[in-house]
Amino acid sequence: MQREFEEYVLKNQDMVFNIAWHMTGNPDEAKDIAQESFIRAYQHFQEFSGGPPRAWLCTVTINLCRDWLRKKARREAIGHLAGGSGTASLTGCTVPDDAIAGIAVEKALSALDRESRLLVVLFHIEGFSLREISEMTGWSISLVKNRLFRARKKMRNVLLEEGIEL
Amino acid sequence: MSGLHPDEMTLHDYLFGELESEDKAHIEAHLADCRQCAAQAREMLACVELVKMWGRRPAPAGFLRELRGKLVPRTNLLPLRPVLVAWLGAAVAFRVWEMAGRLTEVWGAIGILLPKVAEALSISATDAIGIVAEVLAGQWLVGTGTLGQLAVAIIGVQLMVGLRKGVWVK
Repeated sequence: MQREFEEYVLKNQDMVFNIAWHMTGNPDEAKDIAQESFIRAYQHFQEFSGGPPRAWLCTVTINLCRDWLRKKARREAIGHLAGGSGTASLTGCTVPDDAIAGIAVEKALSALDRESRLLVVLFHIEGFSLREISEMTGWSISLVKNRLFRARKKMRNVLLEEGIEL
Repeated sequence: MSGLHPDEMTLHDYLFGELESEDKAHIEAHLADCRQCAAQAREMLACVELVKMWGRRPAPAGFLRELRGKLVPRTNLLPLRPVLVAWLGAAVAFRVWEMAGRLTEVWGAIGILLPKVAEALSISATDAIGIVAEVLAGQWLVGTGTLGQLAVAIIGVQLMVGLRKGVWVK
């Protein structure tokens, strides 16, 4: 099982980390959450042939991120820290210096609220369907679709503002 | 131009595969004729392509190695552990009175056995002490027969080493 599980991790680690990173905006937290997701997958590994499905893994990751965000918000409230607008800053990004497009995309994604960014990642980067995303997030398909629509328009505007030719 | 301009949402539905085939054909026909809508569609596709290209962050190097350290092996014998503990506890409780008389003898045996056991099983001396103590306790509980004691010793060593090393992973 160990080897099978490790293959499963290697196959899915980028997806899980990417979701966690876009939701938390913090590479260290994203790594911890991604690892916790795989620990949970390990505990349920034999319940599925070939390990838990990708959608299962994403749902676990999303829920862990939401828990982390709730705790963070509580900590900040208790500590009277300045609250953000709900938009995580995607610092720690490792795009090459000369990749203007990469930086512009980072700005475009940062301009979105967390949940919209999650939808963009799940739909456009990871290729999940609207129905799958609806099941993972607990939102209706029409809400997912509307948020994606608004997110795409916003990203396009930011990219144009950044001087990217589309 | 084929008909009215589609609204932006419908255009997105078409571009990202969320449109029924009849509507799809209608939009395709429109895009073939309407430069304005075609440009809008190209712009949106280019935007999404850029996000796909640059929006992915790979997991950091050493992710799997670090994860390995966090995984606790599952043992099939885990449910048996309370039974083993109870068994050994009872052995100690019932036979502790024998200890007084045999203490010197037992410690002498451990002194001889310990380095050999530790070396043979590739485990730490602390684990070896634990294993020897557990096996002796088991032997005392089971009773007198030499063969019985030997069997318990072998099974005991296998069980204890297995549990300590977590070798019974599904």
